[in-house]
Amino acid sequence: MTQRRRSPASYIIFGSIVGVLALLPLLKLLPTSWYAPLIFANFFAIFAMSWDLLGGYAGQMNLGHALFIGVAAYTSGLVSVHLGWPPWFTIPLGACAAVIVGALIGIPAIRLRGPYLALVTLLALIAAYKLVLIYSDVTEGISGMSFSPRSFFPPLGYDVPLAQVKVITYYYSLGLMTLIGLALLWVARSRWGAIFEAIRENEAAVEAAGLNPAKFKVVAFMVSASAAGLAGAAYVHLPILPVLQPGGLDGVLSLDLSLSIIVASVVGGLGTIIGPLIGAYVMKLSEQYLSELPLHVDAFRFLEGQGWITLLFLVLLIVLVLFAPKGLLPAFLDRLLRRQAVDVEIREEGRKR
Amino acid sequence: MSVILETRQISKAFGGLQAVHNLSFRVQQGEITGLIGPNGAGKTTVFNLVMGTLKPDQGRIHFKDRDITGRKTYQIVDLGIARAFQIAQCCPGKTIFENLELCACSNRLFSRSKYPSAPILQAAEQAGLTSELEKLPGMLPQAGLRRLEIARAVATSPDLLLLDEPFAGLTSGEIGALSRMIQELRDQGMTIVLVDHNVRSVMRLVDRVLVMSFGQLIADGSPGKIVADPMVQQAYLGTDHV
Repeated sequence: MTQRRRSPASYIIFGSIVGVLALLPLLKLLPTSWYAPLIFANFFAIFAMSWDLLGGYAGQMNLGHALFIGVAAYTSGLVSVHLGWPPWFTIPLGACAAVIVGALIGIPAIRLRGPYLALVTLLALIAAYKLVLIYSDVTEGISGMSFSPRSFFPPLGYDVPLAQVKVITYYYSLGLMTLIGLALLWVARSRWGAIFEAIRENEAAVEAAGLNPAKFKVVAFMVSASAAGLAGAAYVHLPILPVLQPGGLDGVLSLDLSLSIIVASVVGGLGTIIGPLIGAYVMKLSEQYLSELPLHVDAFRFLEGQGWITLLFLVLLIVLVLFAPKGLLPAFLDRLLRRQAVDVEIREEGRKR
Repeated sequence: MSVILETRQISKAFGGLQAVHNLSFRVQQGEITGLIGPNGAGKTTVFNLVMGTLKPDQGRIHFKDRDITGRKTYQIVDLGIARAFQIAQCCPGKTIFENLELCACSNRLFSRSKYPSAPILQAAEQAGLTSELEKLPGMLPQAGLRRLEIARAVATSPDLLLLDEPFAGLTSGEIGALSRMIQELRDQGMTIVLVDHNVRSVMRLVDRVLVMSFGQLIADGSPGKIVADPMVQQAYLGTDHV
């Protein structure tokens, strides 16, 4: 293996981020209002990293990533509610359903490229959304399933205080993010990851090398779907999730979710796994920070309501993409490497003199 | 010598254009065979048909007595045929080592042996790329890219190597170095078929020449015999080569 893939840099950055996040509650640095957005950010990071393996590494433009999340969430949720099966069984079951859907969506990817594949993934997501509405007698349609997920979440009962529930849920989501993130990093740096990257860069070269691009594309879809699905299925059983609904702010089959996953990946840096992880936290935490800004700073009170915060957030994203088109992580690494190169040059100049 | 590749009456048409017509030829194991002909003679189409990029309208293609007609490119590479393109088909974002590594990868989903480094390093050494393994392909000159393309094909450990215009755009010194590399590959037991317009370099290198014109084989023989063939002179070489 080459230097680049042997480098432990990704694991070090990943470990540092997880370490900081794990310390926040212990050092009492986290206001209570920040638990819920951070818990969602942990899941959102998994969604972004899993999208990156498919979109960033393998170059398969998937506009309907929420499909994998939603299929797993609904499978797990419906089986739990209607059959009463425990989460430790329904969560893997949901992930399996997502893998099957991933394989089914991956098959058209063998023939389709670019905008055509993007369209298929988008249409599949809309079709799944419609299916939830059609079977609203089972899924409770657009209003969502208002079951009590707290009872399904193994370590918690109804008698645990909310503050503790938040801390436990936070560590549960962080643990899941760590496990899935490490697994995705491992895949990205493995032989599969190298082949996914090659498919993105030059599919003809992959075939000329004696490799079957179609097979590896389907694998990329399945691995990406399994990670997103596992997180999606686990997300349903969070004690703080009010309802399982297809659309809206917390919608697991929403186009908004799909698009924001892509935005997080682009903002963080495509094809890096760590970049989308950073992008996800930057997006979710800055969103939370901006929403709280008018409450804490009088000068920004005029921004409250009216949708100005969302607008400000979108402008910030545009500025980020303009100034760091490759994403935050590659921009940071480029700057670091350039500075190192300049340092080496200065040192060599000094030595010559 | 045994026959390694045989085409039997293969034809391919693109709309009204008959690119290859009832073409039959054999390639002997261990030989360097030159496939020459004027532009549009159908040489590259023959390579595309052998590699499975195109399917013949009729006829069969046999490799080591096995019918490979209509198989997919990766299956054909797996059987032992590799092709080096005129324009390097590499991944621009991967280092030269990573590009070679890809060619040595197993097509199996789960493979115990990760990256067999022996064929990678041997291919790099033969192509004179050992000191440039950590570079990106874009940092190589034209001749370097051509060597990389051949090294990529060699890294798949083929029995038969198809070289598409290996000398195009190279200086005479670079052609000489590349010819030596091709001879070394043959000496190791690889069978080589090459297509090129540089007739002098081809004639110096090959054991046998196949001449195509308008999709058909018009001559087959040793370089000396081909140069003296009046039909070949009329269709392609002209009288300067006599």
